[in-house]
Amino acid sequence: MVGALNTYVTPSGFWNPILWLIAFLISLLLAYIIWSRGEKSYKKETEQVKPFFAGNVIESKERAHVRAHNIYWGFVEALRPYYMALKRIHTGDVNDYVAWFIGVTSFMLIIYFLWGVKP
Amino acid sequence: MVETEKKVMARKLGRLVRAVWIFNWFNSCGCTELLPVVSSRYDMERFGLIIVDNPKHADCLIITGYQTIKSIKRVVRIYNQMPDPKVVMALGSCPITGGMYWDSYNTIKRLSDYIPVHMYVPGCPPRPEAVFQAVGLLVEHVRKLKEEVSRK
Amino acid sequence: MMYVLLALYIIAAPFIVGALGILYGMVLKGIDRKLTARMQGRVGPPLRQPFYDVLKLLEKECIIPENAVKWLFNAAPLIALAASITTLLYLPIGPFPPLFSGNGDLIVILYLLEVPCLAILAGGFAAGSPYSTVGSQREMVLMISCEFPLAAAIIALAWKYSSIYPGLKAFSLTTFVNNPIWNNVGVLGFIGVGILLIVMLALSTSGLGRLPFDIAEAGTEISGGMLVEYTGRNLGILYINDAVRVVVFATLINAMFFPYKLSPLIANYVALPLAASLTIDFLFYLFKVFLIAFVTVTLMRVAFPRYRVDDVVKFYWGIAGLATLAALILIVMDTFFGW
Repeated sequence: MVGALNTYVTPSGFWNPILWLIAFLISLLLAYIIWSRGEKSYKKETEQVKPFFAGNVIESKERAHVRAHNIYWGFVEALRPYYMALKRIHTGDVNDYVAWFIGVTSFMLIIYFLWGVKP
Repeated sequence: MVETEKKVMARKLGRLVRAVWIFNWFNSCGCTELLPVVSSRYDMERFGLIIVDNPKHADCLIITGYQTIKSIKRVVRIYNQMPDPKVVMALGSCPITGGMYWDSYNTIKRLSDYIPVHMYVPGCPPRPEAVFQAVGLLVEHVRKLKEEVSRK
Repeated sequence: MMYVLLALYIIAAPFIVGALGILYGMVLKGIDRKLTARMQGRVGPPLRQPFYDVLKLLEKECIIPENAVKWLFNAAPLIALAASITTLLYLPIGPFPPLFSGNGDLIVILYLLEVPCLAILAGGFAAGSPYSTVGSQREMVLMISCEFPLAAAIIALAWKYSSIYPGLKAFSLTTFVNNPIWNNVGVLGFIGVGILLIVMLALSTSGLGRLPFDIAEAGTEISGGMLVEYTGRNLGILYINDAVRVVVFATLINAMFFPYKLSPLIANYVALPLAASLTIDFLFYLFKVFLIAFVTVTLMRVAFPRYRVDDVVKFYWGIAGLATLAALILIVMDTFFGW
């Protein structure tokens, strides 16, 4: 238990999580001191608590929900040539997928037997 | 107002006027002379004013010019969404009396019927220096309030 | 007795670096706004403007939206600021070694650089507004695309140190400070480390969320992005956090690439007492941090518009990633051929 308080030393680095946790809690205290000097109140149950939507009314939460697959647009657009090539490969035919599996496995096995096995 | 309330209000407004953040609700033709206020000739950032994109970050709502019946609904909602303490500035003659559109079927004629307005800046459209004079009057008003509070 | 002193030291250390980070960060923010204004032909706000901004923000009401997860929404800015302050504990401040030296290396700093972004991202999701959800998703894209060049750059430099000095700890910042990288590489390595410096400067710009990579807090596109529902004191804490992170990134680049001191140069001509040389080195450190912040924040903000989301990914996974790999190959060639 007391051993957990020691610094964890590796050949290329060191790290003491407990010390960081103590420092983090003290920094949290410092941030809280600044935070508590601010104004606490707000008008509950008025228009203030509705989300900002350029002055319009959000009818229901489902309509305002932003789906998570938006994240992928940035990556797909940036790597579009790679993505298009992958799409062409995915034909939907199980025989093609099995052929890929056998091809890649055999390639890896050849490389392993040529250069991987120790004498 | 009670004494301590006045003191608190004086302190809040004193801190507010040094860094007024304006919400970018620049619609209608009244804002055409307001855009140079942001740019280099009549630089407004030297007084601490910046433009934010979101009423929840803003202290000052500048209503420039006429508001139609559709947009005044949004203006009221946005005014209610701003946190206190806040200031409303009405630019142009349209919010005062209806201005050029005094007999239009579609615009509102008096802004103070809908939201409380703290400062009117007349003109059609008002010159950039008029906006600075309005901010200067605000600062002057707060200074007088603070003097009054500290004298007691 | 020694344990009492140690406990006092551990308790006082975050306050010391917190004061440095917050105060100097806000001074840097003020200088940045003034220089940006001058570069755009304007006059600009007074240098104390960020302090006025924060004091005003602490007076505003702090609205909590109705759809928000209240504890996460309020805790996110505090966690972000606390994590930024703790990062400064492991970085050397000018001539002084890190306050927690021997207890955290570069890998820790690499992770701690991400924690404030993650906290604000969680706060954006917790706010329950469509604009903040979009902003948080964009911040996720930005963070994912920045990971690869950042990790590759740090590992390239650490590998170089581990091959030259097998006895020293490669990821420790003390190794970086005592053996400046430029003295230990040949011509090829010089070019490689130069490329890595440029990549790290670009990563600082995006780690701080500044133009041209401020897709998460895009003003005109998504009305403030992740910060859209934050008001009042929460926004004030996020403002302070923004200022501290500039000091963190600039200190990291200073420690990795430019850990030079000024007092040995002056000591050639004038005999300096210890206090004077420490003061001169500390002021030189503040100047270096200002220069790095000027290049990564102010120059970038004035010169570039905002990138699109897929352009950001193309930049970091395409150009910066390939540049980092090329720099790694150059450093490896430098080690094995010794040019």
